[in-house]
Amino acid sequence: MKDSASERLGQFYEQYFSRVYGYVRYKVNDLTTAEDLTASVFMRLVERFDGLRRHEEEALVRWVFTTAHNMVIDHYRTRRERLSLETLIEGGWQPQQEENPEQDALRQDTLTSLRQRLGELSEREQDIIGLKFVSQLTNRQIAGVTGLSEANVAQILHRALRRIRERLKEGEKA
Amino acid sequence: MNEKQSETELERWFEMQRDDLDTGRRLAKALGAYRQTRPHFKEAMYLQLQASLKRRQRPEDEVRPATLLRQILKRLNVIVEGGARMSTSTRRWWKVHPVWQGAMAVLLAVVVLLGTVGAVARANPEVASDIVVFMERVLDGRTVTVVTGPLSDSERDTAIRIATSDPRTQEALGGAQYTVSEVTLLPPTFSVSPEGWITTSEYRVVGVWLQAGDSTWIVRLDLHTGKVITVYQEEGD
Repeated sequence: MKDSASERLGQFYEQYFSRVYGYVRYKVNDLTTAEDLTASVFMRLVERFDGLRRHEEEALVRWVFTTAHNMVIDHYRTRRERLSLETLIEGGWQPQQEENPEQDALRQDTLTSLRQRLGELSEREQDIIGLKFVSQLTNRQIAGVTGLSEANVAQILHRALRRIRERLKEGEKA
Repeated sequence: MNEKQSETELERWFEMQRDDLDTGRRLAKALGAYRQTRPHFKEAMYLQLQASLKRRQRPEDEVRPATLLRQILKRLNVIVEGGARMSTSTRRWWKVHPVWQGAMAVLLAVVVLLGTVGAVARANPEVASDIVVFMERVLDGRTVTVVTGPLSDSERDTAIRIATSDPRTQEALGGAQYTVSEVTLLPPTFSVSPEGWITTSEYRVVGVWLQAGDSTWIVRLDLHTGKVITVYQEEGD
């Protein structure tokens, strides 16, 4: 007979591991810390799995991302470091390589510009951008994690995207 | 607002949506790179999670001494009941030879006890071998094995010392009085040696639960390096 807890954990893990890891990696500045924090998030999930597995998937997603968010905050609080996307490169982050070198070069330029623009956003905006475009959460899920309303999340996203777009255009003109 | 104005507003809105979508696509493509992990990290992490889940579920599955005794008594009871259904000649033999009756009962009890202990040990190898977690999985054709053995008293003392002396723990506790509520071995964070083995001597991750008032802090540390990995607060249900 199949173990339902093990099976449920397996399904959830397969669906959300990369998204949680991506979010943590987006927020911290080195690969090892991202791996360690992601491991801690999932270890906590296992510790509480007996109680949590009876919940709906949405509640599990909320719990996991809220835990990841809190762990990142805790990490910076204890290390007294300032969150900076720019330091990612120093931490060994490499963007995905394109097969076409021209496309790759273009993408590198876009990435550099995007990274600069993202660094200019508030931490909350950066957070929501990460949850949306790295973790691929819906606005409703983001609302669950951040404690904001769904409409508020949409508003913040829209404003952040507009600011990024405007800055990118300014950069292109210059 | 006249019709012309409404149309302009609507067009502007659609344009804005298109722009947002376009910027969103660019972001999604660029930031998607953050989801890439090192080779095997996801697999190895899954391995240890399942091992941990298995370990956490085990106490419910374990056959405790009281249960074992109940099982033995139940079996003995069956034999006694069986004895009541013996044929007249056999009953007569038992009555005629009361010494044999006692000797046979003791012998049967020993046989049943040994049989039950053997069955329990076979069903739960860790009862006999004292291995807490044992799990195997094939990664790229290599068999990766996680073995987590029992925590010795000295390891337990060392873990408590490392956990309570770490500055992160002290900051988390904020000078509050605490008690050590649990010290337990956890599956390793992530380590696959070239030989594909994670053994107790190579990697020992321990969780120390500290109770301070209504709060519980969990300190995860590596005994091998003597360093604290993470300190976090356990959330209430």
